[in-house]
Amino acid sequence: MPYAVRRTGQAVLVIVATFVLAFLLLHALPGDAIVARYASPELGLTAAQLQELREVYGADQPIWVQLWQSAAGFLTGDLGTSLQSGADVEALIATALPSTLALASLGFAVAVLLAVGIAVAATFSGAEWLRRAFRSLPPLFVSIPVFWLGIVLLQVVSFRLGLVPVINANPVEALVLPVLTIAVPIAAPLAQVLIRSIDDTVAEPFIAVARSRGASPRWLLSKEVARNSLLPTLTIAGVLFGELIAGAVVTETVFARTGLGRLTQEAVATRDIPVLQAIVVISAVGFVAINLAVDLVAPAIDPRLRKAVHA
Amino acid sequence: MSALLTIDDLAVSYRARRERRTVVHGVSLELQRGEVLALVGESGSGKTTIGQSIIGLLPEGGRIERGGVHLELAGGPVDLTKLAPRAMQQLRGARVALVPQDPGTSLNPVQTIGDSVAAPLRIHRWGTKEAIRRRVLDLLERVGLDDPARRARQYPHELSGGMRQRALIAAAIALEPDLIVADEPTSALDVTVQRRILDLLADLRAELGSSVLLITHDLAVAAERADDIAVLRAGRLEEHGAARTVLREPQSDYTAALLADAPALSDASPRLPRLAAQPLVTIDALVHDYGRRGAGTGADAFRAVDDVGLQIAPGTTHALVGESGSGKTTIGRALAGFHRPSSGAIRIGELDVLAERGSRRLRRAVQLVSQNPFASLDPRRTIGQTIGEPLQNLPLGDGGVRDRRLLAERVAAALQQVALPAETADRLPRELSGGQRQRVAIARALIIEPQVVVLDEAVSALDVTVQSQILELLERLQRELGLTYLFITHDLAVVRRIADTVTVLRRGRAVETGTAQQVLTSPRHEYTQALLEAVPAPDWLRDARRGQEARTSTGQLEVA
Repeated sequence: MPYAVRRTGQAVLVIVATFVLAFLLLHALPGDAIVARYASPELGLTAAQLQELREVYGADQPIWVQLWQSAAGFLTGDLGTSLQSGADVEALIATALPSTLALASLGFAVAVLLAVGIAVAATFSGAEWLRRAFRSLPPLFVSIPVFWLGIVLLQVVSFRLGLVPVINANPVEALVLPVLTIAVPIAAPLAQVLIRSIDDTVAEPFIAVARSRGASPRWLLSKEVARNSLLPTLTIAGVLFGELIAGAVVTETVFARTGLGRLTQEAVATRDIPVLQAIVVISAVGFVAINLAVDLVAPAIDPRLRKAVHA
Repeated sequence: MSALLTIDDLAVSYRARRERRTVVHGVSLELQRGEVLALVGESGSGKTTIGQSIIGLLPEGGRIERGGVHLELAGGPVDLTKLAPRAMQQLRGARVALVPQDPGTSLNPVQTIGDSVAAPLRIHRWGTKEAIRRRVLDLLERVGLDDPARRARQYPHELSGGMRQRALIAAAIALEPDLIVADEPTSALDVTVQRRILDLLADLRAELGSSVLLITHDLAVAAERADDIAVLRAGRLEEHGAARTVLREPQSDYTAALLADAPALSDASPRLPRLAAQPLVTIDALVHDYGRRGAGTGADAFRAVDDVGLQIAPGTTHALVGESGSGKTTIGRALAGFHRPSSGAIRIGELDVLAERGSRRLRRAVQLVSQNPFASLDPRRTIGQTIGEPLQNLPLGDGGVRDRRLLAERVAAALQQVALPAETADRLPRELSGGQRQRVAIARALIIEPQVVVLDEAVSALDVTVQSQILELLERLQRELGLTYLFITHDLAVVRRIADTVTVLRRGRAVETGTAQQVLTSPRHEYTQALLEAVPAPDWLRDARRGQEARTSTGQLEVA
């Protein structure tokens, strides 16, 4: 299928471009990584010792050579060495990734459930005041900052009400509040887009025709509206993946969880360039993969896109 | 025979911006079992609202104020306005079915045709999966779709408008309803397709014994197809009676005016051609290819216009007639300099249109008025700004005007020319009716005094009365200013009224060209004959036209 091949090719190109751009930007920071890490006066290293360190880390090479070496490393699975801890970056990532993946995927699933629930209640529930109430939820959710929500949830749900323990919690309990924290700001734009596209679909003449055939509201929602409203929402869902990464940084910091977000925060604080480079590339791969999946799934949902696909 | 449907003093209101506005004021109607009642009226007459009240699907804000809609069913009479929502749901699609207006948007785009047709059967739990599958194939075959098994698997965008309307009819008759509400079922279709769809509806009605409520703006369709006609105006019943009586001896002045304005019902002869020695517009061997990979190559290439030539004498109207996809708009836009054809030549007097494309000289020679008066005006600019804009774009000394007072004067004059009050200049498009907007579009085209105006379906979106007024305006402007029109239309009845000469297009080719009189009364090409035959008209009018044709041909014989 040429469409799939073309889109995959584009995806790979985006990842390569991200890698190069991230590398160049990180190395364009004033002073190189070695200076940032070791040149502080407390360590008392001489200029000669710093130069030696540079040679060890390969930082004395021209930037193109460094880029090439780094790229070759990424392709063979060698992501480099953390300047901060001296540990292999791939080991750091391997410890951080599973916990973040659990947080992100659960958070996203909860966000989808929340968004669908709000959107359906806002468009199909019986009473008008109820529909209005649900319609005002997404704008409210959008304006809630993630860190604030995390702290409030901790304070109220955990400390005051004692509903979910955060100290000595089992892995499931430990996930409840972070997942909620990360889900709400993602559910909000999703619900907004979903409400909007349900509204648009319901206004279409074919919905009136379906009603004229005797369709019940339930039938309308499940057989006529759902699939038509899905596509715009799916596209937004792909874009919101970026939000998920940003959300993980704040959430993991607030709840003191290990994970990619926490690792990012620490790496930024200490300017741990190899770690940052790896995180940027992994995020890009995730982002591109999800949007690629959305693009490849879209024709399955809307037959009108299939023609363009084959052309 | 008893009445299947009795509407008794029905009044319907809408809530608009916090106030209630009554749109149907106590209408009473009767529809006999097995008959066709046409509900005729212009836009805003309340005809669609009555249809929606019957089927229980008034849009949000709509409410039945008083009156009843009684349906005589096997189980006894029911008042549809008093039925509980769930009971109404059970009637909809089963006893009362809808054939909607626009087949383009009335089918779920992500559902197969088979699923759309099966929907009423599934909703009303008609039978097993397998039984429904077989019934769908039967229905598709019954409405004249070839290869039903394949059609059932296709999606709406893969079918033509006529085929989609057939599928919608199949879904409507799936449960053999007592009443079919057909709301403008053929308004979005070409005239030859319209004829076949109306024939199909008539056949099915006879076969199933259903009654049809035919909602239409087109008196000619009503005249040809209905047993009874009800004429509505502003939510009130103007006239109700047997079709023949209403059409031949209308009791109300309004009906009489509608009949006079309906071009399809006129038995006037086509214009006698006014001849001139030298044509003003010459189109020669015009070819236009659409396609992605250059002209004429690749699988996507499509020849929209194929070797078309025509001439228009100064001060006359040439009609370009054809169904959708015939290439008529492509020719019109090429003449107006909007796109470059693949090959051919177009001249307006001494002006080579293709060489002058985009030049001020061409802009001053030819202007375009397009179909949709709602989309062709900028909603945020006042009418005065819109009409004055062309003058501001032309260079000074070449017809351009910059002086504000002079500009206002020219705009006022242009408004007067199209019979709009001078205050219109300060209004916004949304404050005007469709007819007024089309006058504005004409004023904008005329303000730089072009020689030629391309009118692309310029009256197609208008009600007959308004259409008639606009046609009159165009005729007057032509007389006064000596304008030359290229009049693009799908409506042969309008051609009869306005054209001197005609070209009939089919799939990009000119199948017939000649004087309006010759083409409309003694067409040579079978496609022209089919087009003329498809124009809806009651039998007595056809007879009258045949008489006219006979007179014309004997007249020609005498000359010869």
